Amino acid sequence: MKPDFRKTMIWLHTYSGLVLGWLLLAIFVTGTLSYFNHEISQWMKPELGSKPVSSMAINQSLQRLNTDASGAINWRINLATSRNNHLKLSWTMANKPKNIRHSQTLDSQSFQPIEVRDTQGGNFFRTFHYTLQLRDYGGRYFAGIAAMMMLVGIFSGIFTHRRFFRDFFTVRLNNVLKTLTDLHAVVGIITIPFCFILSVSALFIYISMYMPWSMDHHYDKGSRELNALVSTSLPALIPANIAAKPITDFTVILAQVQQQWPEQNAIKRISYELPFDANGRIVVSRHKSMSLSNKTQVLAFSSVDGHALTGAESERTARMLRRIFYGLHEALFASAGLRWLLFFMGSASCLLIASGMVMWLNKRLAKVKQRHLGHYLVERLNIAGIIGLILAIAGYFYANRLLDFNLAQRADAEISVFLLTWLAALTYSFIRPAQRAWLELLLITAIAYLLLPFVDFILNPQWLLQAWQYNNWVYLGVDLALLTTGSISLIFYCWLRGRNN
Amino acid sequence: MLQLFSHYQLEITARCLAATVGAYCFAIASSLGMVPVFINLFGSLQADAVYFATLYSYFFGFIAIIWSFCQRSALLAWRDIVMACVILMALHFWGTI
Repeated sequence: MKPDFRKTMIWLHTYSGLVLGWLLLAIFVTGTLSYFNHEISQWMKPELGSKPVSSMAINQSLQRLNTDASGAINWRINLATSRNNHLKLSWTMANKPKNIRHSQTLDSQSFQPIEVRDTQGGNFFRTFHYTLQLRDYGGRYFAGIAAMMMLVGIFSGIFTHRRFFRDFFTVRLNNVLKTLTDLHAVVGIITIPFCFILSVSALFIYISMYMPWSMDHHYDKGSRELNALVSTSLPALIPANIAAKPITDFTVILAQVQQQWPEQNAIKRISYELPFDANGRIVVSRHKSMSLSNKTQVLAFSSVDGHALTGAESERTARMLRRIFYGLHEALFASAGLRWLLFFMGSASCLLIASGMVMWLNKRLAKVKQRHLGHYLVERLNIAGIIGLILAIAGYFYANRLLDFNLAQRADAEISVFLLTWLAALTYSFIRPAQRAWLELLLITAIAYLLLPFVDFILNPQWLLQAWQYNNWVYLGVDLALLTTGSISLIFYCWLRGRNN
Repeated sequence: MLQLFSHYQLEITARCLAATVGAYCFAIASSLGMVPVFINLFGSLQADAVYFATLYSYFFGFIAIIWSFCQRSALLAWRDIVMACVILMALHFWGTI
């Protein structure tokens, strides 16, 4: 190997990218979709409807809990947000040997319980992007290795440029491979900070899995004991064992909350702990829109008379540092505009990885006369890894709409459809010539995405009409995003076909 | 061995091992060895020091990955990583005394 630093970095960039490129792409695509986790979930649960949530929601929910969940040891209300109008009640009844949990989804205006289809919604993309659907088989370790590899890719990529600034302003359009190289360079420079923060925070989130050694050495119970030392939480609740009635008119508490948290719709969740005890406590959780950290801010009140109780202290700096990286990764602080910006940065990163994979192959195919097995494999995996993944996501959305409402384990079946579609695309890429497979899969993907909003409309026109009537831009936005994805695939298909002819 | 594999292949394998196994061991050594440094130099509490040392260990691991490909030969890369590990572990044991 050559001792020249720059040449070493080029070599490292080429091969570190090749080894984990497809894995990184799958993680970045599903991770980018997770920015719209709540919006996608809303679209995938059309039974929730589009009616705006009335301001009566809290008191109506409390009344319902008071009748349906009398004697429970806790109550919880997850309020609807501007991103997702899912109003969910849950409560726990004391029982031996195991407590029983109940939950109920309420209609946003009539406050009657409604049946919602069983689906993981957008949350599937969030869990997939770090567990790879292999939670018990080390999926999170693979994701961690991929994150470290991304950091190596960024670092070595920076040194691959001979002329960092001139490269940025160069786009050669006469040759496809050169266009791709310049695109890779431009997108690479734009996404450096984004990819860096995302990869570092990914590694920070799972320190207790990736780097448990120091904490295991210093503390008997490892990460759990360390976390208890640096984190803070509300004091433990001691039951008084005197029966009492909980407050069901929330206005008293709402006024106190608004003094502390002045923004609109500050409350994300309301929990009653031991509502039927004289020491019962109400914990109000704030939306994470006002803080970079992923620590949920809470206020505590007595559930009997509503006076404020002591809250939690602030945490140690080390813990806060990790919390802020965690918060930056999740981006729950982002408003709609910033969220779109982050989404575009994520899409640009996907483009960066995909163009890198295609470049690796085409640069080598241009040079060699005799192809070997490696070229063949990379060629096929590129097809399945890039366009196959996009198609599999469409398969997941179709499964959500077309599977029977009452199917047993419906949510798992949707995920199976996702994985099977991906497998089918992989098989298809192996049995067809590469150029044909690219074109045909692109066309199938384009048609699938373009048809999906119409399938949705035919299945139940009410969903779309109601979304239109009540200006539900979450629902309409997902439909528009599907049409856009389909159109981009179609344009790309036409361009690629024209070039081949 | 030398007849079966070319010098180039041995070099690459040794460097890749240094960048994976070596770098991870180096990161572990730093997550232990930096604890007394944080406590004595910056006056951190032990819990904070362990937390920070764990967070910073990725940085050390990353340096080791780059170093294992940049050093003149694989053998030298391994030598540097082992020496750095020894220094960090010495710091760790000095901290426990």
